[in-house]
Amino acid sequence: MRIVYIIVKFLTLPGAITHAFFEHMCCRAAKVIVDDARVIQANEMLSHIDHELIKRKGASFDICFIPFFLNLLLGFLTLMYATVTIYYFARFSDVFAWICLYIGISMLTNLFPQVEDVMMLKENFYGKKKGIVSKILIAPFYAIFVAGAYLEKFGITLITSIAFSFAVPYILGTFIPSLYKFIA
Amino acid sequence: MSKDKTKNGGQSENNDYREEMEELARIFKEELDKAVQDAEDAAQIDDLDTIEVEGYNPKELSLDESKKPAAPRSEDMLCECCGERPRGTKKNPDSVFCEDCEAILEKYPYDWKGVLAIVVVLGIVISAFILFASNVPLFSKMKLGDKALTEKKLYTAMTKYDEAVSCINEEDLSQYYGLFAKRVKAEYMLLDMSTALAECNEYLPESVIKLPTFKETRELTADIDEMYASAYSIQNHLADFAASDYEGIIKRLDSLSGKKIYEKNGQYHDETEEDYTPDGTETVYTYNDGWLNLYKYSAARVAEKDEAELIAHLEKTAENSDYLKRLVLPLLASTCVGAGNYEKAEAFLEEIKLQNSESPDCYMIQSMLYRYRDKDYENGLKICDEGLNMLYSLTNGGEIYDQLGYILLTQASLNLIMQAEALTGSQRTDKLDEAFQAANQAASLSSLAEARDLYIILGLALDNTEPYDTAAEEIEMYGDDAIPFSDDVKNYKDGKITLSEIAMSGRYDLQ
Repeated sequence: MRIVYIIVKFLTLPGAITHAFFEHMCCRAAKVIVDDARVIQANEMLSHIDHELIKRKGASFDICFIPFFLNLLLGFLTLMYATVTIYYFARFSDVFAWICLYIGISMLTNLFPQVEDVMMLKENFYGKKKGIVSKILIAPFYAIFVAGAYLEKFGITLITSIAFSFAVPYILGTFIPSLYKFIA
Repeated sequence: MSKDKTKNGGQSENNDYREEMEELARIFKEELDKAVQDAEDAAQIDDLDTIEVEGYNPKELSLDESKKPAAPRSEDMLCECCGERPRGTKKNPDSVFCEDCEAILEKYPYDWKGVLAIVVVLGIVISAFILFASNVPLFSKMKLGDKALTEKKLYTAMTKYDEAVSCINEEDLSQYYGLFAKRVKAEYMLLDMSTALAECNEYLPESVIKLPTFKETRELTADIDEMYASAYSIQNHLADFAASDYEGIIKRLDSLSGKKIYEKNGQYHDETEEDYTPDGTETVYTYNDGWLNLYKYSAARVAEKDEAELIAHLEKTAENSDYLKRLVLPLLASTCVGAGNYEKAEAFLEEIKLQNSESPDCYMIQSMLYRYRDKDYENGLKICDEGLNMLYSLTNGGEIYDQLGYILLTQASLNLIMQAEALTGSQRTDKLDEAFQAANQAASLSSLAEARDLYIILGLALDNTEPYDTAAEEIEMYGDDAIPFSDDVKNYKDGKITLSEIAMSGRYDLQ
């Protein structure tokens, strides 16, 4: 499965690079020691940053959540234009929309943290003598990260992100017309 | 000679070297023996501390622990990064890095490829967002159109799609295949087959319609093509028949059922043509039974057959195609009202509402039910006003209002006639004048003979012969090409028929 993972990562290189960049950014912000910050490498560290173990709760959560959130946000913003133009308007001649579609899908494919990072998050929040409140608050994120990390490990996130891209015009259709009517 | 000289000279040099080396070996041996002897003498001293040397105190010479040179360390105790300084920091004594390296690694420089990628991606994201924001009005109008289409509010949907078209630059219009696919669907549902086909041919190339996302459009256009082929071929077959030859027409239509139609370059032929042999390159259709039954209904109506026969033909028409069902439902409902079968008419009215809740036919049928069944002309008039207001607001008084408004204006006129018939004097005249105005508007929006004739009759009722005279001049001018006056106009002029009989005859409940 490693080869599938690496192929998917190279197919979705823009998203992989941005995810690695955001992870590095978080490492620097959280003062986590980085061992290797190369964003392109032909191994399972592609789209991730090689960093030391994190023993602080906040840093551990930030490193999992912030790259996920930023890639999701930027990917969704890009897909808004791309999917509406290509899937909804069926304006196939718009080259920029195709570029946006590729970048958006690549960003959504590279959302999740490494399995090791998620395990570290689990250790920091669900280890011995940890508070119940933080355990409850972190539970949905942990569930998303652990599921996503394993999906990403097997390259399945490429399929899920393509499927999600088809849903984007419908999601936008639920609130954009009302918002437009309200503003206009 | 020179060779011998050299040889003798070389031997004397070798001897000198040998002597020198032997001398050195002897001195080295003497020095070595001396050193060995000294060492053996030193080893015989048991306790060095017993030797007292003036000015020498070994305790004074011992160094502090901190000043002692560091003991050599193994590699796993050194910093993993620099390999020189010991591991551990104040913050984290277990760290595998030294203080300096840890500070550097915490600020590991970004990979330039990452920085470049993020700059490019951010540029694309911002551009995409701006472009999306500029498309929001178009997207919103199309989505509102879709919602209306789902809710079977077909005129609202069509109006929204028209507004969406107005959001696009004219030169880019042909690139928005998705919008035109939706418009074609709305036009098809609104029974505007010719516009749907024309728009499809103009804006949706065949290569695009073949794509999987346009499956619905492909099916709609195939259905329209088949209906066109059937309608065109049936008309060709009936061209030779007199309108009154009802039996002949029915026989011919029955003979066409199940037969194939061949279309090539816009020319239609069918299996009944003995002199035509298909070459395999034609598009093949089959006669649509719905259309055959619709033509039977038209023939029956011209032949003034009873309502039961008309309803039978219409019901068979509705069985075969959704398009034809939508087309004939108002005819079925109004025929049922005329036949006094009000329950069935109401059932058809509900079906019309399900097909298009904004259809003016709903208001027309409801108005007819008030007039025929309830004799409630006030509500009959009210429902017409409601329908007209709805149609006007939905379509902004545009083309659709012009196409459909006459239906409700005629109904309003008929209700006003019935109200006027119950009055006398100036009140009657006022009501008839209102009916005349409504009929005038209807006649201006429609080219149907019935709309014109009702306008003329109401003019005559008000002693206004201008509409009659104008129409008479046209008939005289165009001769056989003009539509002659109906019997109702002649009979009313001769005083053989009353206004209420005309209003309740059913001939002016226009479709």
